[in-house]
Amino acid sequence: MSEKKHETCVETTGVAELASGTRSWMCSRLCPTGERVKYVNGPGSPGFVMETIRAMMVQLDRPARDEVARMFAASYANETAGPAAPDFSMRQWEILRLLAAGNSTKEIAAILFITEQTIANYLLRMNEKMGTNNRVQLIAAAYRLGML
Amino acid sequence: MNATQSRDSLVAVTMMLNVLDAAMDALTGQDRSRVARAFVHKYGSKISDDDAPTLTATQWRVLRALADGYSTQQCVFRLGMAYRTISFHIEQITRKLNANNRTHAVAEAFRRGML
Repeated sequence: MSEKKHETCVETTGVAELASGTRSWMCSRLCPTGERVKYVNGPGSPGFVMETIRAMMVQLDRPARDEVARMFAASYANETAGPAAPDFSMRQWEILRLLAAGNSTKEIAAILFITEQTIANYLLRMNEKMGTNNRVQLIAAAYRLGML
Repeated sequence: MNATQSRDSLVAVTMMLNVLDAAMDALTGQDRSRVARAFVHKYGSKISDDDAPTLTATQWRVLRALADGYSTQQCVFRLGMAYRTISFHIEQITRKLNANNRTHAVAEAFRRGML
């Protein structure tokens, strides 16, 4: 319902319009209802935040984008250090990486010595965790969230 | 670059950093680290243009639809092309990205900073 509306908000807001009240603008759009939402693409979720940021970043030219990236990396170095916080079990991470490397279900089954049905079960749980519908969306979400 | 341009650019950079700080403030725990990682991954690495193959406008549209998790049949409705046409475009995208299948193609596109 409201997802479409948010998208339009983000797309039509120019950098110039952000000059005043950037902070409150962002906060009100990140969590319109003030509560945390679990879905990958719902308002307040990391996926939504990244989409919002992406929509704003495209409005900057290349040197400005690089400068922002440099400053950001410097200020949030401790957030990005070390291995990614695991939301997945070891086995799920394994399957995610094998999938991203281009292996089919059959190939993953052969590598991990488990049946294709077991992989299907794992994918189902992983999609549930990520709020995605299929393996392609799962991989896309994993990249958008910096898990891969 | 003249003085006005560089000042505008500085303002834009400052505002964007402000927005990012606000975004990070609104996030906690794992979400916070995920967004930080995703941001650095997407904008921090310098990806050379040779890494990204040249796709036609239609191939880009199909690739974006794939990244949104659309099936071939759903692409038919979204893009208004025939099923076989979509299949053909997916094959071409997969070939250009040296991928084994559509999931791999989307993964490669992300890895090369195309999405």
